[in-house]
Amino acid sequence: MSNPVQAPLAAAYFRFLQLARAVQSLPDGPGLDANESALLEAIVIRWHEGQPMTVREAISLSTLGSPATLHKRITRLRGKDLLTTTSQEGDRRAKYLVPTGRALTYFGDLGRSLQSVAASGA
Amino acid sequence: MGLPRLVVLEHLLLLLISAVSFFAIFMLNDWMLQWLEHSEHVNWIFLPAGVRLLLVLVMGFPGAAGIVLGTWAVSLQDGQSWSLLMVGNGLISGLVPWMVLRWGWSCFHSLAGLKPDTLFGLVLSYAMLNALMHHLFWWCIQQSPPSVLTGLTAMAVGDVVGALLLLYLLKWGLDRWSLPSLNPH
Repeated sequence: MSNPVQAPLAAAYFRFLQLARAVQSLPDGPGLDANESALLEAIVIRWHEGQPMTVREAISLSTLGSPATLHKRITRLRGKDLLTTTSQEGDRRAKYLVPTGRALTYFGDLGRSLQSVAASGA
Repeated sequence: MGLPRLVVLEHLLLLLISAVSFFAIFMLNDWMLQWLEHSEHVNWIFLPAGVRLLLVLVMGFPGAAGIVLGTWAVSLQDGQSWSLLMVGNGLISGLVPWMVLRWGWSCFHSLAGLKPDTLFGLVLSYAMLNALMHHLFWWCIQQSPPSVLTGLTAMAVGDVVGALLLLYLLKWGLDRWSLPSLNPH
């Protein structure tokens, strides 16, 4: 193998890091775990109230996890095409989290499920 | 000029790590999933196929050589004695994946920019060639199982399912406990 790193152990470690990057980008299933769902709901509720949450605010939701954990979770939600970020005119520093069409379809499906459960219980 | 002693030692260490981890996962697979076994060491879920992929990708030839030793160790553990069948099984198990990578894929030289599509391609090609070469070898030495087609299918399917399970297990671990994702977003 033509590798600039001659030490076999170091070369293997670097190849593992490269492999880990590919493994981490394997496609996810469509499902959300409970933690991702809670974060997505918190973000979408704020967006629905007309006050979209910034990334900084989202990673400060201490009841849902540490900033590092929440940052990873936001990255996963973006990877699943459920969240995207926008900036406001005049202030490009703050990034606001907004749901994508896919997220709105997801909540639409949940709403319809809720309606059908309510209808069947009535 | 020969290789420095440290380089040789590191290669030997990689070989040892590969042999031990392949042997351990093989034993674990036998213990956990024996109820899914199609025939001796042919399982509908074969987790060592995933380890084989990782070892060959990360360690290269020492990884492949370790798999050969690990496979021989599994046969000896089963009480087999040295035979053409045992030697051939080990060589196919370790060297075929390495040869596929060496002559079939550009990621042999560098894993930089390795994409999930390439990983899926490697999983499929390893599984198919591994099953094909084993059955061809068994046919050549007249040790074919009674139902070649079912055995071949079980081996290929088991390799694909096992490798994908292991890759997703690794992804799950990396997502939860590793360094932050290395992928740019």
